[in-house]
Amino acid sequence: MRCPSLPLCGLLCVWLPLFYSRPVKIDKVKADTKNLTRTIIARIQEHQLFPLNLKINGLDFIPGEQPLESLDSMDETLQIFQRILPSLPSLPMENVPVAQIFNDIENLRSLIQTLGSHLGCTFHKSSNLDALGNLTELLTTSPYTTAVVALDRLQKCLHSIIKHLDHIQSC
Amino acid sequence: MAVAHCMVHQIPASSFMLPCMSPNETSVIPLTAGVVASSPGLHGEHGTAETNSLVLAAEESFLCCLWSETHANCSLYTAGMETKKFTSSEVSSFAPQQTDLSWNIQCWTKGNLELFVLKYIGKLSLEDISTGSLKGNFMVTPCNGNGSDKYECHIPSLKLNYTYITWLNIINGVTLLQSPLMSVRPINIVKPESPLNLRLEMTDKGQLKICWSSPVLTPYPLQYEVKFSGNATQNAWQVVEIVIETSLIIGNKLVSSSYLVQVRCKSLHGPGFWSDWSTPYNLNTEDVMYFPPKILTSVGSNVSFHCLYNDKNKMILSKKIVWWLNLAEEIPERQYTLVNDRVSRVTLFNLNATKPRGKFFYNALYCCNQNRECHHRYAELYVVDVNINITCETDGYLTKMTCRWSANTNTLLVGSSLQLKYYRSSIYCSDFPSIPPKSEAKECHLERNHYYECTFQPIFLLSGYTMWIEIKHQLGTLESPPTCVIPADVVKPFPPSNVKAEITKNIGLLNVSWTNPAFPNSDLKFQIRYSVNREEILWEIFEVSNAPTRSVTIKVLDLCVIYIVQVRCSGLDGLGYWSDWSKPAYTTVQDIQAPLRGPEFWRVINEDPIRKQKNVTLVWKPLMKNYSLCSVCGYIVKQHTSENTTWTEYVTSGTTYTYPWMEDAHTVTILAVNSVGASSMNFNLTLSRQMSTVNIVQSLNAYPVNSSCVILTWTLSPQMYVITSFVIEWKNLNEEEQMKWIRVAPNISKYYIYDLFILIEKYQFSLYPIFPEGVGNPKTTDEFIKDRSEKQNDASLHVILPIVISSFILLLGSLLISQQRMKKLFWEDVPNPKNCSWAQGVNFQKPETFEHLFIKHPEAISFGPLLEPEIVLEDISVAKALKSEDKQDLLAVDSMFTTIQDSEHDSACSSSHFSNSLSESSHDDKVSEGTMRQSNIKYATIISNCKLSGLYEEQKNLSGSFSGCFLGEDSLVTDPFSRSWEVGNQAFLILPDQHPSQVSKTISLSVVSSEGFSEPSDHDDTFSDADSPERSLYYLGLTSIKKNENDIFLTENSRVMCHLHTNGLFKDMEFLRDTSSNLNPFIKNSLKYENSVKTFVPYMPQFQATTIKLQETTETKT
Repeated sequence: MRCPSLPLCGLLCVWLPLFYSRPVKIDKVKADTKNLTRTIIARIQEHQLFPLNLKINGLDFIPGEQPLESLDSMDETLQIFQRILPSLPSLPMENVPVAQIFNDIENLRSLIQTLGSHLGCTFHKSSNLDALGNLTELLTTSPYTTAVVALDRLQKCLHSIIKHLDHIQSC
Repeated sequence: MAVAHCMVHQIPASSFMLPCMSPNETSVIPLTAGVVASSPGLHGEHGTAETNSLVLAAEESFLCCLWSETHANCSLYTAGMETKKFTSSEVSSFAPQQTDLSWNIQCWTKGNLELFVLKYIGKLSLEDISTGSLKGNFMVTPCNGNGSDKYECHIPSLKLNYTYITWLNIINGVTLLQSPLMSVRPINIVKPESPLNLRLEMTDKGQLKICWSSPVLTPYPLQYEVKFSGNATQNAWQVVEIVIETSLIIGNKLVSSSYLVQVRCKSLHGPGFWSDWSTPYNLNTEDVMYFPPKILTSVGSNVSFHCLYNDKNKMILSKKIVWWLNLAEEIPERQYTLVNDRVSRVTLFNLNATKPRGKFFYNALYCCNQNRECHHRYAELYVVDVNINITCETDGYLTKMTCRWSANTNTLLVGSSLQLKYYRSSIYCSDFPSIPPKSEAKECHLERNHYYECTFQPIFLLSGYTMWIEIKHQLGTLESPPTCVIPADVVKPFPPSNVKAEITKNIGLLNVSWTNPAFPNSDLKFQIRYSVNREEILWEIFEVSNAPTRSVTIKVLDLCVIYIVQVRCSGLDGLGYWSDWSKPAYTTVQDIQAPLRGPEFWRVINEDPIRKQKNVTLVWKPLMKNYSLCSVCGYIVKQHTSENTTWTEYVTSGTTYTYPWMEDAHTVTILAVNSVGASSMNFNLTLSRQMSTVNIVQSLNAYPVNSSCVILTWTLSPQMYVITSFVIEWKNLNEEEQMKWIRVAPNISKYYIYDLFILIEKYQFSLYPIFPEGVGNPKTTDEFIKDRSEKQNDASLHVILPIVISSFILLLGSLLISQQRMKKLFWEDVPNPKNCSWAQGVNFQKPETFEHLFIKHPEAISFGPLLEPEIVLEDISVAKALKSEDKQDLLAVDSMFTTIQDSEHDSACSSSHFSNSLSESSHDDKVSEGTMRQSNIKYATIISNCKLSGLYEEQKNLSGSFSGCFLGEDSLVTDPFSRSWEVGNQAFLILPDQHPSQVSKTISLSVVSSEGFSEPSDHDDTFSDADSPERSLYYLGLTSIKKNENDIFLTENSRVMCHLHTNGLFKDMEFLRDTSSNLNPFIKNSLKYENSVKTFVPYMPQFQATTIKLQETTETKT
């Protein structure tokens, strides 16, 4: 009766390093997600000199008003911003590293998807992407408003992600 | 006009000819004039089929034909562009007639698909030629003459699948010639570039194959044609095979002769031209061939070479092939593989980097014959160290990652090009980075410090960048081991800003505060370095992890100095780099606390004769910073009288204060004041006229130590007062120097005053006892006591002097003893000349040297100094071994003895130099028993190299033999004696030195060897002193060894003592005398050995040689 336990322990000991050296640890992913989100917020705040206290009409397709409580919604929202950011005019915010923020959002999406895969989630393509058809038109008519509102709402979304990240238990 | 008149010809993928037709002369050419034909052009150079075209023109209709050798297509056009086609059979009816001018044209698309070439070979010398192409609008391309009658027209930027209409305009003087229209799709007439890099390779099975590289930029599959020639001078090529692959196995059939190989290619599908033939490759297998001939590889890899060795048309079998490296190192046979009978393969494992030898950057690998004959050709092995370390650093904004790497140009091959390649994964790195199939190149710049620098911006902070260096060389491409970097892990943040440093008030700690950099947002750890701000800065480091308050407090020793402080930060997880140090912040020196205590002070009392009062001058020492913390802005002098009245005076400058002594007794206190407050702990001094008469210091002495230190000692008389402290005053009386003072503790009676003292000057020292009630009467001394140091010296003398004296006495005593000893050696122990034959005539009173004592005797000269430690008994041998315990008699001794008659005179020549065994053997009680006996003692050192094993088999035999030896009543066989035999002595000597007339004498025989001369025993002295006239000491030295198998040799270590009963011995001696005649040859033999033996025989002349030969005695007795 003593003998079977020993090989079992040995087997566990052999497998232990394998579990230990898993390439992605979920705690690290969560911590990195938070740090990266904070970094993006800091990038925006560093160059946006004033808070946006006004309500702007006509830009409802830019997300940021609703809280992001699920991984799927986070990913979907970030997808939209990935579409918007490259189109933003650089003139009113020439110091904002839009290309860098774009890359950061790409990384952030990868982290969220890694978290989601850990929970067994499947991610969808954003349904609002089709509604961005008139983005070009909006940017031509009121580029400054679009740029400022987009960055402001991205910031709000990121805050929402930090807020809900610790409490997410499902997709 | 031409367009209107002539149909458009489809250009084939070959050369073709068109008749020239002047637009102006079209109508001139009569239809009946027959056919305008061109002579067929030969274009074997390109291997194209011959094509002719013919145009028949008439007034109202014209005929355009395009023909080849096999068929012809002709169209007859009417003025209304009606067309009638003729079949090939109809061509013949037009064939016989020719026109004056023909167009010999070849069109093809270059292999890179970017250029359309139209080549015209005309028979006229033309001034200008140009082509026109028709696609929507006209484009005119000038044509350049190539030689006398060849023109090439290049049309760039083609669209391959479009159809182009072209024609040629030729201006010859004023004549304009225009070709018929030609239509072409460039894709159909592509002519690829020639195949490249033709080479010979070997398959794993040892088969030879011709390999080549397809021409660059061919987006369509190709077919290849390979042709061989047995001799380079022959033109008859033999087409071997058309293949689709870029290699052709030729096996070993063609080996052993010389071949030229060429390859050309053509589009596999559809029309097109064959390319030109490649550069011929000379397949010469007459000597050694290596496959591959050159290898470029990286450190640590394994490579294999094949070898085909054809030595003078005789193929070397693979099993006879031996591989050598650099003509210096033979490669072990276990690394060989016999691929087949002729091909040998060697594999080199775990290669080291090639060390350049002058201009040679490779290892030369030789394939040699077994008989160590090598061909001069070799394979080249280039091993390059590709371990290039790539380090990356992300900037403080987290937007840029800069990677640096350096390559050792000394180890890289000339002509190598380096490039950083990378692959980015979405997030993180894999555990084991590997080179993926898809990668991107990154441009890097060589910096001044020989580092390449590449910048990624913007970056993916959490993506894994797998990077490696690709080293390209014409011999091949190598890749450094890949490394994976996550930019977030290599962040070098910006240093903290707004660094402030201050010493906190009241607490006295160094407080450092700062502002974190904007990035990164993860937790940070900080290092604070601080130092006193001076020229030589000695930093101290203080580390703190994750300081949420952005400040730390550090305990520092010195609070009243300026500190310089810097801060830097790094990621808390230990990844990344430390930031640079922040800009330095400095503390300011300010008052932190009220002074810790007031100053020490003393009073000087001066009489004012005019006012007839005493003035008290208070003097105090400035307060040091460690007490003032950190400054003193003034002092408060507080007086408290016995009437409980107090008054204070504030002194802002100076350290003295004078006031008249009004009260009989009052207490003075001095407080130090700074911006924080006044000192709380202060010194008090009570001045009382009553107490100034109290005298308790009994004595005061000053001892100078050196010019900077004086010791002051004092004694106190028994007293009732409590002493709070002493004050010592001193001053130089010869100079107008200010008095100096110091306050010392009350419980000491000795104090070291450190000051600059001039010892020849006169100083006055005063000791004031301080009581709570007042200052007592001082004791004063004004002279140094110098005896103290002398006394100290005396103390040391007291120790050293007895040691010196006792050492001297000891030395003297030893000298005396040694003198006596020497005297004894030289004079007392020298034998009596009367009894020593050789000593007769020697003047012992005045020996010039020690040796002169002995030189006198002529026969002793050859034996060297007397005191030679080894005395060798020469050539003593016992003829037959004792073999049993029963053998109790002396059996046989071959030796050289002195005659018995000489024994009286030749004795005791060196009595003092024999071992103690003598004393043991010649025990006094035994010897001097009864009447005075004459005892002859003989000493000898006996050498023998022969082992005794054959003679004395065991110890019992030995003792047994000796018991036989000492039969007499006085026989002494002592334990030491027998022990000496146990140790391995191998000789046994008995000297029958008894005079026949002296019966019952005990003879002691001692055989001394390695111990040399030992101390003489008392018994010896007794012998020599008391019985010297009668008793003789015999000294026997024997050296030469007769190696007779029947002999016994006495060895160096032998120590033999034997007491012989004279009765028994006499018999033997008589027997010996009878056999003395046999000894003479033996003596001769022994003398012969003298030269060969390095030992000395000092006393040899004293003895007469006597042979004692008792051969076979033992055996006969038994």
